[in-house]
Amino acid sequence: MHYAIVGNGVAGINAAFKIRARDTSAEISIISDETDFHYSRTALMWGYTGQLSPRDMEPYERRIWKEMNFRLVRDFVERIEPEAKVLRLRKAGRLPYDKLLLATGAKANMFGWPGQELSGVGNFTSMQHLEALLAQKERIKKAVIVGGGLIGIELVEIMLETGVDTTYILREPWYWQKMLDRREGGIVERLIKEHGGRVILENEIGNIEGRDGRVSELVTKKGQRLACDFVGIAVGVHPNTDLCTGTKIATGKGILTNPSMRTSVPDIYAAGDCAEIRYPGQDTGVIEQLWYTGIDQGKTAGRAMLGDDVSYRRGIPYNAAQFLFYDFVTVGQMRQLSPELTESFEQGKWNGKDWTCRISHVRNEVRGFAMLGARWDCTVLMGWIRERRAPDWCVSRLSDAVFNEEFTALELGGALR
Amino acid sequence: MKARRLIAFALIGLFLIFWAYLVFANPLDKIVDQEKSNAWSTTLKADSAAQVRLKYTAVFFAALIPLIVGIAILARDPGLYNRGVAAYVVAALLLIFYLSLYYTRIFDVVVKLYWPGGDRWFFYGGLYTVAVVWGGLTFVGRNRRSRYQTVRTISVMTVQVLLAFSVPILMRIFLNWEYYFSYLWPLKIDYFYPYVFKMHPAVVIYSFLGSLVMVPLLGFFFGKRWYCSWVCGCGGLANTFGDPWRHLSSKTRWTWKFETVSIHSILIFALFTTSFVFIGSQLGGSHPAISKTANGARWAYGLFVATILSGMAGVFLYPILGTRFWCRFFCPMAALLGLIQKFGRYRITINGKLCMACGNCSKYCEMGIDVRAYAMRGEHFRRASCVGCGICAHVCPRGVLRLENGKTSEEKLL
Repeated sequence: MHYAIVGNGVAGINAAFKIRARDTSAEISIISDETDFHYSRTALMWGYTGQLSPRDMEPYERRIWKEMNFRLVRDFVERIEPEAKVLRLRKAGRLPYDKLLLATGAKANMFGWPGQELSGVGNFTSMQHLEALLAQKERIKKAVIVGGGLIGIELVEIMLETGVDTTYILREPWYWQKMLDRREGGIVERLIKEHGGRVILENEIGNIEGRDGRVSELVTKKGQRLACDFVGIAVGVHPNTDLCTGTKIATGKGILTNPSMRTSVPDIYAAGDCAEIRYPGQDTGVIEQLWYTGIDQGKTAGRAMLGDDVSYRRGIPYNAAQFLFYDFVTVGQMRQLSPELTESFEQGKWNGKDWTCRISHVRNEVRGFAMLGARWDCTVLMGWIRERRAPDWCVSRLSDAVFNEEFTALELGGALR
Repeated sequence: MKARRLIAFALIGLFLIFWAYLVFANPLDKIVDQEKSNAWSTTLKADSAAQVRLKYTAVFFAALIPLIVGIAILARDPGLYNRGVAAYVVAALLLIFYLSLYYTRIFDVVVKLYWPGGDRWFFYGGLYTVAVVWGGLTFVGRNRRSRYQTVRTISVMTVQVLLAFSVPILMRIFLNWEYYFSYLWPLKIDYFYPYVFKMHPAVVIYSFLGSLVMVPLLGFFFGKRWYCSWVCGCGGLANTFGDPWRHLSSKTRWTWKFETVSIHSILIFALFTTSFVFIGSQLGGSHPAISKTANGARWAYGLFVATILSGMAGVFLYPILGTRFWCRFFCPMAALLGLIQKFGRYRITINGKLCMACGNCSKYCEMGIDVRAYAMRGEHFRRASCVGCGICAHVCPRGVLRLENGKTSEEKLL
């Protein structure tokens, strides 16, 4: 049995581990054009600041690939021939497979702005992007970052940390409107300013101008001209479905799969950022592009490829982030995505830092938490949602969920108590 | 950078010539001889003593100036912190310092000129304290966002300044003997040697209760960190002056295997030596074979473990193997506390599945624990080697890790 996995990201690697754990003799090939070994894409920002080397980003010792008897192939898959069950690789040519997993990830959005092809305009989602950025590190004195998500603020953070004059352009009225509310977004905006950055709200890229093929200026839609030598574009990503074009593999926004991560073509599976899972009776699919959803989808796909009758379910969603050393945790559903919920909001200070706590609920049952400025134990919060606790009860027990370092107990404000 | 590095190397070369001259030609001793008096003795005539001091101090510091300037230049070289040429040069300089400290009279002479009752160990103690305090202040500056790091570092600096430096000096001045209350058996194996029994009863009680009751009890409730990263001078230097090199620790499985063998071997060696020295002294001269073994073990332990591994390699290898070389591979106290920690309350807990495998925790673990491997699996863990410095939790960008010694969530439910 030959399992071929396209993509050595976290979904592909977890599928491979799952398969190997049960089938010690199978042939497993992992094909990637990006790097020789699996690395944590989430660590790219520290690769730029020098806090981590590319080798530090590899979560496993290299010997493990031999021990697991994986065949790591550094090559580019040009097309799939599902009828013949064959992959066409750029260098190695024909590679037959028995079962195939597409874990091709996502690609950064670029909306065709004039000048986006100039050198000095870049994304930040792959090792190649990091290498390109590192190659011009000395030259970057002024940067403009576009896009109000996690990668956007990561770019802002590494630019500010390396002493670059940074302007951050957001289309929305506050930072990360999808996850934060206005007050929280305001705190993040103030943080950016405290670290020396500038924030331009409710504006977008108009066009990018250059000199000798290199970016020199960004003009916003509202006509503001910003001189810069780097433009970082982080306006979201889309599933990479390139390999499906010209095949019978059905795609929507992503590669369509059923909850067992099977695509429309037998023996071909998809998992991770590239997949769009369609549950029975629903006509829109679910695209999840987080680190842990990649792991879980990869594991599910691995089991499905082994022949198990499994189906992927995300459970209570959660996520964490850090903006300029400011922690953020969210668990469950919040109003931004589920407008039927009611929210209560509290804020206070500890250690001279703002913290906020937003609790969403419906019919006196808690549904979600969004907390800024402190660390929270998401397993405890998740338990409360599962137990359908009342919001007041949660507030009175909030100190049980604090996950801050020792000596940094959260002083919960009177309003919350 | 290259040009600056060359200037630094040239200055260091100049220092080495000077230093070699001081070591091999012994001009300092000659100055003293010319005065036809013993520099150590208080009978030195006031005027000539002043003259001797002046000459001696001038020569000594003249040698140090190019060194200090050279190192100040190298301090900005990224290679110094990433095993570049500068790292090897600084490691070699540290080795030369230790060889001079242990095997020449240079530092003895300097101290005795000013304080006839002192010796080179007070010079070393002073230098060590300066390194801990200066390194500690810069460390707190870099990590002021973390209150745990700040509190811990203040503790380490205070212990060094008081218990490991000022108190021993005052004791030497007023009592004519000294005791380092921050060191305990088996780290300072001598503190169970028979000579300690002849000291003040309070010290004998402190030594025995400290090692046999306080160490295991605190270790059980708080983990080895109460000692290794809050009190100990070796750990103190590593976490302050040595902090910029902490990430150099090896994270491979091979190193882990080596560590488990080496550290427990030294613990056994320490137990063996202590018991033989103890038994030997009780039996007096009646069993020459036992006395001989005791003396041999004591000599071997003193040379290989106390001097070479702990005294010299523990520090001079900072720029090459990371800061906790001694603590991780050889310290018998760390071995003992590690065994207690395995069964104690202290642990690192993982916040659900929030880990995104970035690797900051593993990279900055000075004990070479692959923290990320546990965090990725969402597995709370107790590792014998963890000294509880807390850097993994501090550098984690997702708030995944926490040091704990309270009740576990299961215990809270009961």
